[in-house]
Amino acid sequence: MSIDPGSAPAWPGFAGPATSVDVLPVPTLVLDASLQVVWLNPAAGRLLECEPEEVLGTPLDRWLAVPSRVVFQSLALPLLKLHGDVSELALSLRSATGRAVDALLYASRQPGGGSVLQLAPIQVRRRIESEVMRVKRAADEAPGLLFQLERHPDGRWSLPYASEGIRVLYGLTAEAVSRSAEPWWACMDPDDRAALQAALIESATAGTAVRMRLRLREPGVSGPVWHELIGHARPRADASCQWHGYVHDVSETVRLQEAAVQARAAERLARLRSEFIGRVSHELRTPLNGILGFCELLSDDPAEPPTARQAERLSLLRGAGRHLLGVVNQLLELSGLESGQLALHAEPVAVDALVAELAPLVEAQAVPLKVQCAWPTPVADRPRVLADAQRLRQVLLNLLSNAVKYNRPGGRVELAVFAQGQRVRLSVADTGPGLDAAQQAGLFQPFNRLGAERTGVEGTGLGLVVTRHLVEWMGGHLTVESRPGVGSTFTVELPAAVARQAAASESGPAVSPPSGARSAMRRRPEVTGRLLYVEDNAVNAMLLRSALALRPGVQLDVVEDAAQALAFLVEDGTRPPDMLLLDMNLPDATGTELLQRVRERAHCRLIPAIAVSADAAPASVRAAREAGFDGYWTKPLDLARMLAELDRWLTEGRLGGGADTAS
Amino acid sequence: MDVLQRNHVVVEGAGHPPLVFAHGYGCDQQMWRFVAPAFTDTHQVVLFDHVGCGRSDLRAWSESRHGRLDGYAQDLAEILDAADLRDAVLVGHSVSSMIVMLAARLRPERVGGLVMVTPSPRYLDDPPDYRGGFARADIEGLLDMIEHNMIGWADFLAPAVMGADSTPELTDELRASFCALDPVIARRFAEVTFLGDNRADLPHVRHPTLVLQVEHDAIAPAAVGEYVHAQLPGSQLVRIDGSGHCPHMTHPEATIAALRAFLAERTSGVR
Repeated sequence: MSIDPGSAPAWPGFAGPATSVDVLPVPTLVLDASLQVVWLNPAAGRLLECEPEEVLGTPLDRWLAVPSRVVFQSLALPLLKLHGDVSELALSLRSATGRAVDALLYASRQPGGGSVLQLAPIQVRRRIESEVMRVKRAADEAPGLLFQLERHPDGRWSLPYASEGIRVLYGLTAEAVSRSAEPWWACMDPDDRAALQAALIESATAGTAVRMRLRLREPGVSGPVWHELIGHARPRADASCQWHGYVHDVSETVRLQEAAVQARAAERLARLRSEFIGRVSHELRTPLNGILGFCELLSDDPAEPPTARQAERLSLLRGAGRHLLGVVNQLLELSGLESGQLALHAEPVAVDALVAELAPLVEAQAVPLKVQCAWPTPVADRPRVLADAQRLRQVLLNLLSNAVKYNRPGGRVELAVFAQGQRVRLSVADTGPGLDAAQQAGLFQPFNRLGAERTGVEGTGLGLVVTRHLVEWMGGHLTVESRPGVGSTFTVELPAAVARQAAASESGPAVSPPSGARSAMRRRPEVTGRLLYVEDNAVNAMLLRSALALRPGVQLDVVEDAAQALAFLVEDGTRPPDMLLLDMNLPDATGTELLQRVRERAHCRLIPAIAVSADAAPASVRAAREAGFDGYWTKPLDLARMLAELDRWLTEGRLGGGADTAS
Repeated sequence: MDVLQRNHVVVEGAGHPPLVFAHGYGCDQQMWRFVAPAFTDTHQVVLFDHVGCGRSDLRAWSESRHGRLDGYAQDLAEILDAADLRDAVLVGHSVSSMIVMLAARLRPERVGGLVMVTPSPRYLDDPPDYRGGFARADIEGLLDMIEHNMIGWADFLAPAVMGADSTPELTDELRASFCALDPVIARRFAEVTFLGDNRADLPHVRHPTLVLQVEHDAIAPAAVGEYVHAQLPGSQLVRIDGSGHCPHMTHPEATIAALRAFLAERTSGVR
């Protein structure tokens, strides 16, 4: 096969005489069907840096760099053979001197199977291409989708450019969205897609940026897939608009943010609940203060003793009030426990001493109900329990009290103690009606009294909830075993205290025994002194004034706010009061603030000061102690206890020490 | 997924044994246009596109499967099953020489013979004893060159072959049908092809095999064809005068003649 160079080889676009091919600056070669060079022009010779004779009769591969041979054979040849044309195929030539020349190939098939090749050497274009490749690689390696989005005047959308990210993010190819963005829109949640389109159109009008998060229609393996699109609008004159921007997967960020928001919301809810409970209990305690206080005054009034009938009604009134107070206290405790406000004072506690203290209290409750109590025999070397003594007392008293209350006449309550390795188990067994599986499941739910509300046995439905919280809070477990008709056994398991020297703090009963309290309710004219009570609530002031009728030697001054108190305490030569009672919530200051101002005055530095508050939260009690208060009385005031403490302060001075009467 | 749709399988003609043509790197089944029609009168002719090429279903491509030639061989084995072929003669060009070899090992009972057109079990040199013809830098240059031409392979090549004034609809159809290559898959397929090494698989071939070579092949040099022939027990080597890597396009008559001779021996039982 041969082509006569003299008869102008015809290829598209060329119509001039054959001789002009020679002078054309475009290197041109003619190949036969088996890809051998059969003709070339001088420009081609110059390009290949040799005489044309050296090229004639050689296969084209001879003049291609190795990679370009593959490109020619596998990409260009099929196009040339099957379709007849190749345009702008980048090739690298190898000249006779071994120099590499980059060129673009334009080729067309000739009748008879040969072909005409034109080569356009490229230097600038190759550099630009390399630059484009660099940018393309950067765009394709970016962990997201870079895009050009276009909205056509007819309302059609397309993505003329989309980086490889579109494959990763949507499983689409750039080609699939190049004419219509529909396949892309279809991946999005319909609502989010509508919102995005609206935002895009708005940004086109305003010429602003768009930043939006949107969900995909199909969730991923770990939940909804969220994308964030950031784009800038570039409106054009023909009512079309282009956006350039970036889409990336923010699912993980969204999940973390949602988790954080939920955690914050849960936290806030817990805090609000605690605050709410604290406020409610405060609101309840203030009137209860009045109810219980006047109840006591009425029933113990030596001047006008109540009739038997009145005494009975007063007792009912007092019982109801105390029950309400119990509910409020437990609620408060629960909210403190749940919000983690309670501080733990873990120490080795001697179980036998604790039992000895609790036994009379439980017996007093059990005798009228004809329930028998069995107590563990004291053992000399019994390991002590690591617990907060006061809280453990509360736990055991609650369990024992329940065992007595929910028992049968003639029944039995038994407290047993086992030491087992590093754990100590305290179990309280009763012979009550027992609990079925459903009841056991509801046992620790607040206000679930498991039907006991229909039995007439008093209770709040909070005791066990608080008890379990306390046990767990001390690092223990509370478990229950029960058989309906036989009875229940509640077991507290706590860590044993490591043996300590005898000098270590021994925690026996620490609560001031209430034995002397009742006796405080009698008239004691020998107690004398001056009291300043700063209180804005008239009922509370009146209650204290009435109680002090039993202490005729005590002079009481009441002022309503901090300003009046400070005016009262001005140093004018008169003797300052012997004791201060400061309400913690005054209209113009907190009790703590007032105390600080008072302590600034030299003559008031040593006056014992008692905080009076309806806020029984342990944290508040501790805070007041730390602020310098010598005592903390919670409302409703236990008048007997209050008078006993008053007696101690006024007769023994600061040495008498103060106890918190938080009940 | 339907295998016949996945690989855009086209079956033409009738006659035993069936011929299955596997295209090489860079185009699709249309590469066989000058050879396959010569056999439709006497044989059932099966043509297909590898996944990622031509009109195959791009969604079927996966890195785990098509990141190795074995995945392409698995595809072919499934085509043999789907078309329920017996004694099929598998004709593979270039990289598909290796693919048909691997497929025959997967479905020996469906295959009657192999034709390897310009095969190379390894393109890279492996000094001192093996010369594949390519240095490592050549392969990297090739991948680079392919990528350069892929910047707009689908985008500007199709309009160029059609002429600038063609309607977009027609161009789209062309693009979808004519030597179409997904850019990412094209690059990966090139890596799998030109970085592969199937020399160890050659001695396992149990089917009669024709090795078809071109005298001056810059991609699979003569020495490589001789190596393949030497490694394949009982294979025939036929060398076509001329140059190039695609004799089925540049020397279709010689290719057809060599194939016919091989088939004639197969049917007459002469070895």
